[in-house]
Amino acid sequence: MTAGRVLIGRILKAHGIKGEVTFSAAGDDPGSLRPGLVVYLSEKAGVEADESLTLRAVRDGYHSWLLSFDEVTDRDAAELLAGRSLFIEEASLPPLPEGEYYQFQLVGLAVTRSDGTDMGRVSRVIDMPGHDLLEVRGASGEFLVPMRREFVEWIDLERGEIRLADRADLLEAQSKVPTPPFKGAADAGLGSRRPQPNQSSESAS
Amino acid sequence: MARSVKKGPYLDAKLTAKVENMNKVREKKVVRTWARRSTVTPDFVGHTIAVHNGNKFIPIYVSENMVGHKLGEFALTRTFRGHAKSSKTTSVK
Repeated sequence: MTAGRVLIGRILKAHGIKGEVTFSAAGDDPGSLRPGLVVYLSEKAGVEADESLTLRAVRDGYHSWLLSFDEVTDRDAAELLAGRSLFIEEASLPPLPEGEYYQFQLVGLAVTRSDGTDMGRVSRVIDMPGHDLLEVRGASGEFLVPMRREFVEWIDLERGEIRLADRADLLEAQSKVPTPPFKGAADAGLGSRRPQPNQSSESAS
Repeated sequence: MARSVKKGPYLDAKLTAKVENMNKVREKKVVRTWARRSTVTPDFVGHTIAVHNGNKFIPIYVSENMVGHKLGEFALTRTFRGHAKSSKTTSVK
């Protein structure tokens, strides 16, 4: 898929006989969908890649959104779209209120501490039930940062930087712990790792 | 079948003791735990608990609406890697 395009959701199935389709949005709010918007379809075997459609109408369905396109006017054509993902140009995304970011905007930003120490770069944003997490990869390894004021001081997209609060305990809590030796390991002359099944069968024979 | 009301919610004793000690000295420190089955109590609110997901510790900042749930509900054990560039949004809360 072309760089500069953003996934907005997936077409589920055809709806009705007038070419409408049900749509599952990737984001929380499908505010980017508006009549006249040009959307791009994902690649699929047997169907032309990079096909574009113009959105005619968007309405709220029972459990999903219902979309109709200028180019799709009957159910047969709508059925061909089932399962395909929809993308839009990045520039078509609506601007967000202050303090809110698209997840892809944060990926790649430099992460620093208040003393200027480089901690690495954001490799991805993870959705968790409580709050989102930033996955940071740096020289010291990988760690997670909750998207909370207690840990993230500020985010500056123009400078490409995220400033973390001074919380050394966050990194300590995520450091690797050596596996504790199991009971009787010393007697068996083994280290901290449990014997593998094939190892035990060899020793038995 | 739901847990008996007579017993009250299950709480991991070691974790509860650590949180109570921190509340006494008004300290906020990330606590590491494997007790995914422990219930979140109002004492936990405002603390960050690193819950083990079987692979690594996931830092969870406990907020009021998590009270009554189990810690494991907030530290997912499976990784879903969706499309790299989607219209999902995020914010610092």
